Amino acid sequence: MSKKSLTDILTSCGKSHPYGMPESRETEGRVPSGSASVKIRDRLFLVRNGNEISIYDGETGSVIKPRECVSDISLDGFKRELSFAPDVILQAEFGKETVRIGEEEFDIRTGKVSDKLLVIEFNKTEDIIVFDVSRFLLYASIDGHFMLGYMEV
Amino acid sequence: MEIKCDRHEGMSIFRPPLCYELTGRKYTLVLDNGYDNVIEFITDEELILTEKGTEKRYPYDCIKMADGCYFVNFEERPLKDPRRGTTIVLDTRESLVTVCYAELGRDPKFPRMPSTEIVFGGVVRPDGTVPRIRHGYTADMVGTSIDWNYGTFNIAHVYQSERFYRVAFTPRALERIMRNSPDMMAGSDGRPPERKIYEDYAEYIKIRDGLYAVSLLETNLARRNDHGNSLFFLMDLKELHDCGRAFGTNGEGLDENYTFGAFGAWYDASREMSLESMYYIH
Repeated sequence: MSKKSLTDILTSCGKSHPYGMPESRETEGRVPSGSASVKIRDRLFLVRNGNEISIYDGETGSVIKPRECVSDISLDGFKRELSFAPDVILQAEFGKETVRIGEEEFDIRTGKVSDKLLVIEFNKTEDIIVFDVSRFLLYASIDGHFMLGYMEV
Repeated sequence: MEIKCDRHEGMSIFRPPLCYELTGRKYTLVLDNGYDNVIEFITDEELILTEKGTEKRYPYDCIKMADGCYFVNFEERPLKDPRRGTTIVLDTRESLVTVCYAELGRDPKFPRMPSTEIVFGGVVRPDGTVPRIRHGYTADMVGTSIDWNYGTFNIAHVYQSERFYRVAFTPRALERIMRNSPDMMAGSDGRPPERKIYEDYAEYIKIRDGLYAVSLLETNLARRNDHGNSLFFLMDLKELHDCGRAFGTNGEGLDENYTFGAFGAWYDASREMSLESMYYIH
């Protein structure tokens, strides 16, 4: 499988600064102190606390770990260009439990968070990408950093 | 599940999630046009604006672009005639505000011609003071260009000078347009395509280091096609991500006022900047 890190691939080995987004304060007091979160839908947040990633639902107050999301293989066969950094546009091809991004292949597990919202876990690291299928937006926690990206429409 | 994005208004597909951090908060805006406005975000979707002593409720969109920096857009619904939309860049960290008022219907010959007015101001701090400093017009962006991906299409905005902008298309963007919307390139004035360049009015405002508000008008488009928009953006040039709103009418002549987001990449627009203007004596 892959030899390059996901950060290296998505930023062309650091040549391009990844797209970023501001952290959200809407989860203050609702998630463990010291957590960082970004908003991924009107009431949903991607939360990182140390190495732990979870999805916080602001409507219900529930916290979901990616691994707890029902397995979803709807991305199998899906091919599209994606980008997490300016001028770094990569072909992504999904299998049932793999994704090829550019030249590198990764083992993944995809789960369904909610309607048209998928979470992709990279098995050998703690990296995850949330794919909002309704807007083709990507929210990622990679190497301990939040990144914003998109799938070409 | 079919892997297909939903349809969204205009170019709003990449709009970030709306921000509800302002819910329950109230601010007094001390504007440099002589008026103090009070804005209260009573729910995640509705605000009350007290302007010249009159209180009105509006549905609003709020997008967060940086810590303590918000893009708030609203217009009275149902729409009034003439139309007037308000967009506020609210910097709660620095207690500063920039307001963009957009109107349709001022021009008797072109009723769908957009016009804008920018007003700067301060926000009353908890201790009752108001900053003396203001957001300001800037030349920082002059001579640069960014290719923006709105999801459904790409367009490069060329920040030509302090008062004007131009439009360009990368080869990738042109290919996309010809594939999806070939009539976007229609219309001929006899000039060869490589000598045609769209140009119109712009205003560039510095909010913080790396964060700029940009107002673009489509007055020449309105003269040519009978519709053109006021576009107002809040751009983070370190993250190359922006949000904005389109106020005006669409290609079918229907009213529109919606928020959007886009991903950028620096573009070398030396060629486009060197072309003689088709519209203005410079």
